[in-house]
Amino acid sequence: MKAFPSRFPGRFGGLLGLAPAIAIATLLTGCSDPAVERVPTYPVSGTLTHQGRPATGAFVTLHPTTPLANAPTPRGSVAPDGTLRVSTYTANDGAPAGDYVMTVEWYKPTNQGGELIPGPNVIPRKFASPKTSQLRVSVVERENVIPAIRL
Amino acid sequence: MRTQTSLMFLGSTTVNCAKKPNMSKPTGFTLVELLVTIAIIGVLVSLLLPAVQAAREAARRAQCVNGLRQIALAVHNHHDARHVVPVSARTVGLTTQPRIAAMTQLLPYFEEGNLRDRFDLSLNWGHLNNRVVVNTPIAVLNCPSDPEAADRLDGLPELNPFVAEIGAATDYSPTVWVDKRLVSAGLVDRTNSVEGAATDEPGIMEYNNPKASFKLVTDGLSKTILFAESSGRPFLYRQGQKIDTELAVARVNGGGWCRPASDVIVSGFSVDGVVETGPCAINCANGSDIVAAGYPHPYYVTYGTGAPYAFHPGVVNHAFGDGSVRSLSDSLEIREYARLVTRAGGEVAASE
Repeated sequence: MKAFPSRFPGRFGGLLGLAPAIAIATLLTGCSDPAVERVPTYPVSGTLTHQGRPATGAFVTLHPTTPLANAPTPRGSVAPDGTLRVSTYTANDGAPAGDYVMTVEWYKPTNQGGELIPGPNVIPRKFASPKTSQLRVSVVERENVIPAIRL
Repeated sequence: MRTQTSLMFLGSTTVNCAKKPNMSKPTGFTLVELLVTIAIIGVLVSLLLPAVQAAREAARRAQCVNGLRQIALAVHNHHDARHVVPVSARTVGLTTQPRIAAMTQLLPYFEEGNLRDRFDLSLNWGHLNNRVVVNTPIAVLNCPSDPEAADRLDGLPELNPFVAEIGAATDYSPTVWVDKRLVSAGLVDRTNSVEGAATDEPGIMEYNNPKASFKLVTDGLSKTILFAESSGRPFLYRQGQKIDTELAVARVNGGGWCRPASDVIVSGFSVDGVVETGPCAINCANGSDIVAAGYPHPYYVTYGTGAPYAFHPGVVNHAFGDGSVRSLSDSLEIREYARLVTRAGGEVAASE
């Protein structure tokens, strides 16, 4: 004996439970993005000094000896304390394993009339091109520390 | 059982029918019916709400596009009148010449001539005599998608601690150079110079070049970017996240419409927007953090650190040299983007 008989017979009740599920499914579809395939990278750090002083702001590029697929060229800027950390995809994530030729440029700000302006590259030109630079770096599958570079 | 009895009761009598019609059939909704209704309303609202928000954002974006188009047309009017494009003049060194932004020169060409008349061109943008003018927000320069207040102020970059008191913000800035370090890293093509003689690759409104005109844009005006959105400055944003509400803790060098340093030097970013010079051209960061780098910046020195960035989903609007405004997708790589920025790269740009 039912005190309050439903207007919907029992077989509809099961369907009703599905309504929130349908709502959630509608919201979730179409939001996924295919992840970009990334090559695994390994931390690379070191120090770079020019004439005994930290080359703050110097720009270092690791040119791969064999082209990297799906990876931009690993690069980094020298921090105020002279340390260098290499980034490929995200900040300071290092570089994919392999052999590299390192190039260094430092557009050192120069003082003109009491004001700093962007200056010319003060590092010898042979270090600016991967064809003439003799700085070699091998990145292996662990934490890499480049021996101190003194230019 | 009760139903049966009542039916029998109804069948047996006719007199009391009107008085007790619902003894057996209760009115109102059952719990299940109520839940069903709520669920259906929930589904409808969940479908509707994002759609309404998207429509509102689309409207804001349309307004944004309109602002950019006004600026691009203003550059054409300036060019018609003076045969050169306005450029930010950043005279450095031993000089008494002031620093004037291209936007200041452009004011009369988008009906802000009254502001321009009050601006003393013999004084720097930061000078007290220009304070009232440069602190005036300009509606055309403000993109409504930008969550930051339209009347937010920039400040003198050398002040430490930083004080936001000079320069109402702009959301649009010219793309003036492509960072030469990107060429060294092989992330963009070398266009204007022989190897070893690295210089920044100029855009249409090249910094400090008073002779820059449309004549130099050999890549074609319709294929070269004039203005990019760089929203939210001087507050620092990365991937849609505001890094800090305090400008003294994190900020971009640039943002005020009166500042030459608001011009965008395209440098690209790491994918997380933290490190400048990288493969991400659009929407990874609205600039490089000048607080972390220290002012003057070890590379840009006193130049600005802003970058192409907008609060529209997936795109940043760009005004091109021909006065058209197009939305560039944030999947555009720095190499392709740089091709669109350089005025005389001689490269074939992808149809975005």
